[in-house]
Amino acid sequence: MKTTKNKSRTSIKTNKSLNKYSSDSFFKDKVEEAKQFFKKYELPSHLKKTTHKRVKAA
Amino acid sequence: MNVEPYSLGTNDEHTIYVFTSSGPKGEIVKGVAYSLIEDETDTYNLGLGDWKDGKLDDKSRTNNGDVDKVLLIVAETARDFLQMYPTYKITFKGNTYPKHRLYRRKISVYLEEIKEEYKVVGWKDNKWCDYESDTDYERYLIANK
Repeated sequence: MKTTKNKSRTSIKTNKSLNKYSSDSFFKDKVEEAKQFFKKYELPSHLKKTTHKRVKAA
Repeated sequence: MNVEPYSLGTNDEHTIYVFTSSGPKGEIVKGVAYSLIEDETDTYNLGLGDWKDGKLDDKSRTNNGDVDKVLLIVAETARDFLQMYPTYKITFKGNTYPKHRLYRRKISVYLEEIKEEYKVVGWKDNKWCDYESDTDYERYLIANK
């Protein structure tokens, strides 16, 4: 386990046993509801821009 | 899963976090998941629930007497997630009205501190509005400034 660098007061450690799960598999009904919401309503323009891509697990 | 109380464990992607709530009802492992909503805008849903056998259940009402600590830990996951992915946005809403109202109250308490680092908007009257304390919103959205 390693501790990540962050500004928070809580220690955050990587837990390899969590790597077998996909975050996209949880709360599917809520996620679907949110997807429908964002299809219907756009983000404010000042929040739309994105350049950073998700880091895939090794 | 054995997790030290209130210390956070996360996967390599920093999209799943687990911690243990500790209170009168014992130790309960809880989890936070950031699930992709929109690839185009990198918007992620924040979900919180009890971690049971690799699943997250947001229907349970733990009432373990540590709601403030739990919400602070959830805030720490958001801080970590947005540090890991600076252009991402987090959206969330309570799955019940009491929970939704609780989130609103907590955001209001820490609003000035939150606004120093983050943009906070809420959906109200069919538009996104800058978050104002003690105002009802249908959904919240947080992003780095």
